Order: sequence, then C-alpha cells, then structure tokens
Amino acid sequence: MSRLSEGGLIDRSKPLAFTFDGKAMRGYAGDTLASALLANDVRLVGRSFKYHRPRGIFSAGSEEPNALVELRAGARREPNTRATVVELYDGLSAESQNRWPSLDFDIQAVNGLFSPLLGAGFYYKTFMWPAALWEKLYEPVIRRAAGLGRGAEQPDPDSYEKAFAFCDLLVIGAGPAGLMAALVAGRSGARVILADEDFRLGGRLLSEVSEIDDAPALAFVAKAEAELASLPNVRVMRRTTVFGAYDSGTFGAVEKVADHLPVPSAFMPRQRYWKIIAKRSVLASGAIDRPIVFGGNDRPGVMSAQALRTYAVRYAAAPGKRAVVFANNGYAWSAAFDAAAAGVEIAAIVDVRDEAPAIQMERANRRGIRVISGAQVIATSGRLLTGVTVRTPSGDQRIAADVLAVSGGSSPNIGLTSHMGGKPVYRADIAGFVPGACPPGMRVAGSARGEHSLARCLTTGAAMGNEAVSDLGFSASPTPVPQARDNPVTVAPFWHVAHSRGPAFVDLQNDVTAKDIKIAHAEGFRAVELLKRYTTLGMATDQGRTSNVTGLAIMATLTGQAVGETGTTLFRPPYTPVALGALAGHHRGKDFRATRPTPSHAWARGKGAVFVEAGLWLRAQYFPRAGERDWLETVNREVKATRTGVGLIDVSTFGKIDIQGPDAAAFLDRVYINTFSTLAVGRARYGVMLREDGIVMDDGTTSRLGPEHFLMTTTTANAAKVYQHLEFCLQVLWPDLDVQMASVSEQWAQISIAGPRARAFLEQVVDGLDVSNEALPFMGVAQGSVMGGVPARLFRVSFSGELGYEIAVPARQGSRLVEALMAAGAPYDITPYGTEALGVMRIEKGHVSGNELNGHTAARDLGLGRMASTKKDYVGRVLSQRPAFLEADRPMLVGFKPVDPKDRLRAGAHFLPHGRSATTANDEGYMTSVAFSPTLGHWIGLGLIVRGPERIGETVRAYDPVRGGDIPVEICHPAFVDPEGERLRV
Amino acid sequence: MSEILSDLPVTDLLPPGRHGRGEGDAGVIADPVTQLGLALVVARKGKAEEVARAALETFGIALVDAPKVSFAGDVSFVGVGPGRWLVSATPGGETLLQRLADRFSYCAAVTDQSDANLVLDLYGPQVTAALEKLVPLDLHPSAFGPADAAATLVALIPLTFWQLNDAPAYRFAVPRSFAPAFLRALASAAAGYGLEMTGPQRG
Repeated sequence: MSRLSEGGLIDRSKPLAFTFDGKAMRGYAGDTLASALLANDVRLVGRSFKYHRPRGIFSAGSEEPNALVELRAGARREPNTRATVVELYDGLSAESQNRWPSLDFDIQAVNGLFSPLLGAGFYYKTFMWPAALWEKLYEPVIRRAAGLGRGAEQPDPDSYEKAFAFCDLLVIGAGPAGLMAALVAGRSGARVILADEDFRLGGRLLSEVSEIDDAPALAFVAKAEAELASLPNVRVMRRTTVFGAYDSGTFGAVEKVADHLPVPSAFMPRQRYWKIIAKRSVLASGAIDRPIVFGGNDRPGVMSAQALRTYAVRYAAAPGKRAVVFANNGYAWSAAFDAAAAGVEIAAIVDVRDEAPAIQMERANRRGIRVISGAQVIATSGRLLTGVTVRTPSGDQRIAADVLAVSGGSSPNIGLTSHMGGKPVYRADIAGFVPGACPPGMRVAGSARGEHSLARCLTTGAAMGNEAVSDLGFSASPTPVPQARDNPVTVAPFWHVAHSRGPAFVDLQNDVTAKDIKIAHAEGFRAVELLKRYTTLGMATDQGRTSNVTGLAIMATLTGQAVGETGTTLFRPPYTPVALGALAGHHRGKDFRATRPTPSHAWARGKGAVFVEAGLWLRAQYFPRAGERDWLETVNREVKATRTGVGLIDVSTFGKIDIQGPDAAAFLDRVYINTFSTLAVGRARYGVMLREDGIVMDDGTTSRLGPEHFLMTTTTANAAKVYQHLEFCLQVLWPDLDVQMASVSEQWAQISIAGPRARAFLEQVVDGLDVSNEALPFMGVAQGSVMGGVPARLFRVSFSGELGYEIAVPARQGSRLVEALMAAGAPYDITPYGTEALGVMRIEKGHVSGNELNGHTAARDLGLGRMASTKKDYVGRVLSQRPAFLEADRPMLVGFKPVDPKDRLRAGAHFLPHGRSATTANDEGYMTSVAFSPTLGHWIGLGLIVRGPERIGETVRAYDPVRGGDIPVEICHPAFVDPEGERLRV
Repeated sequence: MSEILSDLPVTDLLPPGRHGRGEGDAGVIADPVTQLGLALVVARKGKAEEVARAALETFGIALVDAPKVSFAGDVSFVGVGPGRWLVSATPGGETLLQRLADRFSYCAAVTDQSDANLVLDLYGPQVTAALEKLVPLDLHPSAFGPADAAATLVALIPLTFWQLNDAPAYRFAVPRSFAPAFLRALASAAAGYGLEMTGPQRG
C-alpha cells in the first residue's frame, strides 16, 4: 500500500471496497478512483489510443489525458471515464480499456514498433488507393485498432433530467478566487450560484499546505462554506461542471447527482443538465500544470508536479516511493516541498534554470532536497518508471525514481472565455495564455487570469465579485480580503527537451509526439488550426488541455516565431465531455417528443385501430378486422366501403385558424393565390398559399362564417408553420391590417363522414339543421348544434371525392360525436377508416398532399396554376413568375398507371423515355405518390413529369434502381375516380 | 423517471393517485380544473383600451395589457400577448363565451377555448423545485409573483401558465392534445418529491 499513514482529506473511518480489472482493492471516502488506485500501488491504468502504450495517471483533475477507464458494468458501463474525477464509492468496479488480452500484455502494443510509420498524416498518405476501400476496409480497421472504451450495449437504466437556474452572478470554480467572489457577491444580497466540478469546495486549497489569515487554508474553506450555506441567496452546486458559455449569459452545466453512488436511489436522476442564466459571471477555474515534452515522458510514473502534490496532500496517497521533480518554475518546487512534508521522498529537483531563486534554494536546502540546476531530463527507463537520466552541466546522471513529477508552468484554465470566440492572449512573464475578450458579462479571477499567487487569487476573486454585483446595482460591503502569501510567479519558458531519447509525447491522449509537429511543420501545416487537424493535437476528449500550449510553443520554435504570434486554437464547448443522456433528459424513448392523441383516440383504440405517427400526432392508420390477411386487404375494404356506402375518419389534426376582423377578407386575398373576399358567408373554398419564393406552402379549405369571420384549415403537417407564416404577415408585412387570429385547432374535434350514404343518417345527429343538397350544397357551411345541444359546425367538403361532411364539435365531445355517427350510420354499415384509406382515396381523386407539396413544386406544377388570381397581389406572386417556373419543360403533375395491370408502382421511381439510358440527363421526373386502387383493381400513382398534361396516353419507363423496378407506365389524368366531380355534388 | 411512465400509453392522461416517491406527504399536488370556461379575446386594431373598458364595465376588472393576470370574482384575464387575453371563468348561468361575445365583439375577436386546454393547478411544498425542471423562466419571487403570467415552452410543449398566489400555486393551461406529454414530463420532474394527481371531479 502506498497510503500515507496520516493526513489527507479522506475519511479513514469509512473504508470502501472496489475492484480494478477484477482485483479487489480498498480505499476511503474522499478518494477518487485515481487516488485509490495509487494508494493500492496501481500505476499502470490504461493503454494509449493509437500506439497502445502503457500509461499511468498523469493529473489529478478533469484534464486527465491518460487514465481513462470503463466504469461500472453491464447496462451502466461508462467508457472513457477519467479515473481522476471518479469519486470512489463502495462496490465500484472499473476496467482498463483499449487493451487485449490484458492490460499488462496488449497485443496491439506492436503498433508502437511501427510508430515511425504511423506519424502525422499517416492515414491520408497511406490509404489513398483504391479510394473505394475507405468505407469498407480502411476506416473500420483503423477504428478498431485505435480506440477508447466500449459503450454499454443495453439501454441506460438510469434517468436524467434538465433544469433551469437563474442568478445575478454565476461563479465558476470554488477555489480561493471563486470562494471570495461568491462571498462578496452573496453578502451584497445578489443571487449567486457557485458551481464546482469537484465534490469538495476549495480547489487548490485542498492540495496545498498554505495559510490564510495565519490559519490553515482549510479553516478558511470551512468558514466560507458555512457562510455561503447560511446565505439564502447563494446556491452552492458541487459536482457541477459548467461546460459551456453561450449567448446572453446562458451557461450549460452538468450536475453529477448520483455518479458517486453505486446506483441512483429511487427517483434520483444520475445527472442533471442545468441551463444557468446569469446576469454576470466570474470565471475562477484556476490553472493547469503543464507538462514538459521529453523522450519517455509517457511512462507510467510520470505525472504533473501538482498532481503529485494533490495525491500526497489531499488524498494521502503516495504515487511512488521516490520522486524526481523536473520543472522550470517555483510553483513546482512548492509542490515538491508539500509532497515531501506529506511523506514522499523527493530524490531531486531538476530545474532547467541555471539558477533558481535564492529563497527556493534556501527552502530546498532546509528540507535536505537535492537541487540540480541548469539540467534536463533526457530519458526515462523501466516499464513502469524506475529511473530518469538527467543531463547536467557536469554530465549525464541516472537517478533511481518511480515518480517523475513534471511541470512546465501553469496554464490558466481559460476554456470558457473562448467559447464565444474570445482569443487568448500570451503573457510572456508567466509563460501562459490569459483570457482575451470574454463572453459578455464574464470576469476572470485568480489563476485563470494568470494571477497565480494565493494572495492575488483572494484579492482578484473579491474584486471581480464586487465589480460584477456593483454593475447590477448591489452594494458589496467593504470587507477586508483575507491575507495570504503573495509569492511571485517565477518561471522560465521551457517546452521541449530537444535532445532527449525516445518518443516525446506532446498530446498523451491522442499520441501526438514532438516529431509529429516537426512533420507538420515540414509539410506546411504550420498555422495552429492546421497543426491541430493534421496531427490531431488537442482533438481528444481532453481537448488538449495539457498539450495545446506546449504543442504550439514547439511549432513556434520551429517557425522562429514568438509563442504569442503563433497564437492558440480556440476552445469550444463542452469544457469536459457531456453524456448525451444528460442533454436528452426526460426526452428519450417514448418521451423523445410529445405524442398528440386525436379526440377519438381512445375510441379508435377500442376498435382495434393500428396507429401511425403523423408528425407529433398519432392517427388511426387502418382498422383491421378478424380474418383480414394484411393491411392492404383492410385498406381495400375501407376504401370500397366508403366509395359504395359511407366511411368515417377523425380529421381533427388539420390546423384550424380563426381569422376575424374588418380586413380578414383582404388578408386572405393576400396570403392565398386565389380570392376569398368574394366568398359568400356560409361557403367554403379551397385555397393554395405560396411561400415568398413562389413554391407552394400549403393548401386547405377556408370557410366564411360571417362577414368578418373566416375559419382556415391547414394540412396536419403544416399547421404550426402556416400559423407562424400568417403571424409574420400580420406583424411584419401588413401591420396596418385589422385582423385578429387565433388557433382553434385544439378546441374543435372534426369528424369526417364520406360516401354516397353520408347524408342518409346525418339528420339523426344534427339538431334540426337542413342538410339537403339544396340547403347545404357542396362547399356549403352551416353552424348549429348536434346531439341535442352540442355546438357544431358543419362543412360539406371532401378529400375522398365522395359526398362528404366534416362535423366540428368542441374537442371533449369528439369521441361522443364519433359514437353517435357510428350508431346512426350502423344501418348503412358505416365503416371507420384510417389515414391509409384516406391516402388511397385522395390519390384516386388526384388530390395533392404532402408528397406533392414537398417544397419543390409551384402551383402550376401541380395543375393549380389557373387558380391564381391575376387581379390581385399575394405572397409569392412575383417569384412564382420566375422563368424556370414557367418553362414548358417543367415537370407537371399527372397520373400514372402500369401498362401491365399486375405491375406494382413505387413512389420515388424516376421517369425515363423508352430506349434511353438511366442517366440524370434523361430523367424526366419522378413518382410522388402511389396506391393500390381497389376501385380500379390496379396500382395507380401521381407524379411529376416533363410536359405531363400534354403527354396523356404516352408510356414511359418508371425506373426504380433502389428496389430493382423498371416497368412501363402510362401517363394519365390525375383524377382516376370521378374526374368531373359529380359525386361531390349529389 | 416515475415508474408508471414505462407502462402508461403515451396517449393517456396520468391517472389520479400518487406517483413517484410514496413516503410522506406529496411534494407536488396537481389538481385538474375541469369546469372552467376559457376564451381568447384579441383586441381589434388599436382597440386594446376599449377592451379594458369593456372588462371594467362587464366584470369590474382593471385590465393590464401585459403578461399579468387581472381578475375579479371568478373571472380572470391572462395577458398572453399584446392585446390578447385568455379569459377564464367558472360556469354559471350565461356562458363566458356569450358574455364576451355580447359585450366585447365590437372591440375584439372572441374564440372559445374551453375545450382547447387541460387546466391544471400545481402547488405543494416542492412545486418550485419541480417547476425548475420544467419551466425555462425565473420563478424566484423577485422575478415572478402572484398575477404574473407567461406563454412559454415546457418540455417542448407550448403553453400558458400564471401564478395564483404566493403559496405558491400555479395554473397551467396545456393544449389538450399535449396534455398526456405534459403530465409525463411533470411526473418525471416531480417523481423525487412525490406527485399527487387529484381526480378530475375537483375544480
């Protein structure tokens, strides 16, 4: 065990059992999986992405590039989970990943032997010919070889949810700067949210031996935590990662509600996705300890200097027995001192600087720590680290060590500042990038802005918190900022040990080496964004947080530019990986989106209907009866019954828009291509409306209920779109019109009955309304009541082509109306039908629907051109006259029937002249809708073909390579049934 | 997620009873309000002030043209857009629609919406916590209080809601065909607190 005998923020009274690769181990409450693994002497935790190299734990935070594991098992298996942020729980099980047959012996480590061949651009250069093999061979093989963990293969049994939070100030990060910002803002009365990805507040204060106001820093943390908890206007969100900054002060965050539990308790979501809307924000996300690139720097045992400190101090877990520190900055020295105090032997501090600051030398001497100045690590050895070779001014020496703690300086953790495009700015004095332009309302405090000393963290945190709330009119009371040491940053920029031996990794997660950067430079991919894409530097799940700066600094060295001139790539959301489940929340499976039942849904279900999704709606598709072999037999029966007797269908899903006002008629004249101002009260008219670009938007019937009162119907699919369009017209195009609109789609259930017997029993349902052909002719509208006093509207319209009525009643009466009609129609064998039969009948009748109103067709294409009024203006009129729409050769709507009546038609088949090859140049159009017509006894179709109406009687090929069809079809009139419309008017 | 949702057809309303956490008192109570007349009043162009006058004369209501609820007795006007109000009243004698049609038609378009919505009152000790997971608006007392109203999107469902009192209790008007989906989202959001769905006879 490498657990230190004392210290650490772990609860030794709460031991926890866990397994790694099946081996039983123990840790304590307060451990992460990484700290517990180290305490159990596990140093090899994974294999790298590309070369399958053995890897250990590099960091102690969310920036971890190496220690990715599969957490949990079965349906809860989570691949690529960073062991450094997994809070240990009793019974945890984790597996190493990307290795076979075992972590110790991984066959694909052979990739490493070929690493000289597998460098930057390898795939592009190697797998060039034949290009056709990319999809079937190269890519699958590459994907299998290079990889991360395995996802779960069963549905996730846990739930996720979304939530919204609002505040005056969002503080991101609860280290010293964040705590101060939250305290100052909270005391002012502002609504504050303090979010931190860790399960404990305190940030670096949990890992550093430091004092605030002459007391241990942890006392400050405890006091701050207690005060924040006492403020009702402050919400502290632990285990919450703010992953993205978006428009108008919106932030995305994920709260790991139950990730620290074996399974979530009842009704507890695993994670909660927060949308936080903050008037101001303070980013106090600290800094990341940056590695130095040298040969052998990926060997298990090499970790960041601050990680060594964190494991030793916070977790009382020694990453090894004897550590060498390799650094260019004083902060790494203080890490070494803290680790030494916690009980880790520091064999030496190797510093690239010729002369380290005197005060640090004095401290090292006091602790008896050997310092080698002006020196660099040039090689490491051991499968797990056993020693390092150091090049000193007096020659090379080998030092035995099982930990090499590396630090190339602190990189401010500025990801969120560039989410809205802000470009980081290089500060040479701290050898790091600091925030450039921040998202509006964001301020940056502490290490994240390059103010690394503890004193500066506290003061900038307080100042930024104060500024933010003062902006909003709160007055923060002037309280003294706690005192702490103000150690200056001492760093000498240093990136890469150029003369070191062995592969020197820049990006540990994506296996990008210093040599890859040289290749990119040599081949001209020098701009940082090109470098990134060519080498995949910084493109892994860690977004290169430990590698970007070093990588571009190496490129800067190669180009001879300054680091600041070379610039850096931008960080994009999310800051750390976000589970898709969290983004989906409640909306998964059956709840992916709303399902809208029709008013007669329960009735239809009782009748055994099969349902179909129509947008969000669930509609009855057909009503099978016992003994029917398949849907087609059912649909044929429903069509025949309707055409010869009477059928019933719920058409409540059509959009219904109430339009009133003195200018209502004028308004309709402007949105429809045809005229509605001439429509008489008590009459309905079919209308077509265009988009501004002249393409047909929607169609439907609109009725005039009163001189200034119309009721428009839209197709089911376009109900919302048409309403939105009309709102746009009224609010933007013609605000002068006195028109009032209201959606009444939900208010009215609408039931259609159609067929030659439709009128026979209607009288029994309506209350004294005259429904004779004279009183209520085709396209007539009546208002009254049904079923003894239920308000109703009666429309004599038809989509099927038969004598038809649509009866509208308040939605809650819809089901009752269906039952009343079914009862009254029983002597006439009234037959409920679904959307399939409706579709068959409209195709038989040549009516256009969604397949034809497909966003490509103009009114003329659909044979509706003559409806367009030439006496008025309307939306889309000008652009509907574009030359292309008027071309003689434009595909136009006609009907099709197979030359051999036994042939089946297929929608989507393309039309070709006989004897011509199947090329785009010979394409004359395509079949939009097909159906088997029980009325005619063969398949029929509607389609668009060049000069269609002029070619009635001609035959062409219906070519359908997808389903292997190529049959002759005859062009015919689109109305297969009752082309004169006589049945409608009986 | 509430366990009932996996078995309940997506087209069906959440049945009355206790859902989610079963121990202790329910954190959220949902009362369907069934006997309520609803109508939409849309002022004719430039006539919003006349609608206000008619509201004052007919119902004694001082109407506000804002996302606010103005009410007197059992009649409420909820501002759902400039010059647009969703009016509700408990039934009695003359129907709401008749009263509105008679007294407002000269200055407004009136449409019946009584059947267009599921009206649901939500309250209980955890109602704010549950609504935090549903409503994309700030319901903090400093931002949203009694008589405030909003037309917004909840679980991808367009709806209108307003605050009834500072208990707080809220009244939601959910488009009828979206009611099953809304109740599923509510059951999920409130599962951890326990949701009591009362019977449809109340209101």
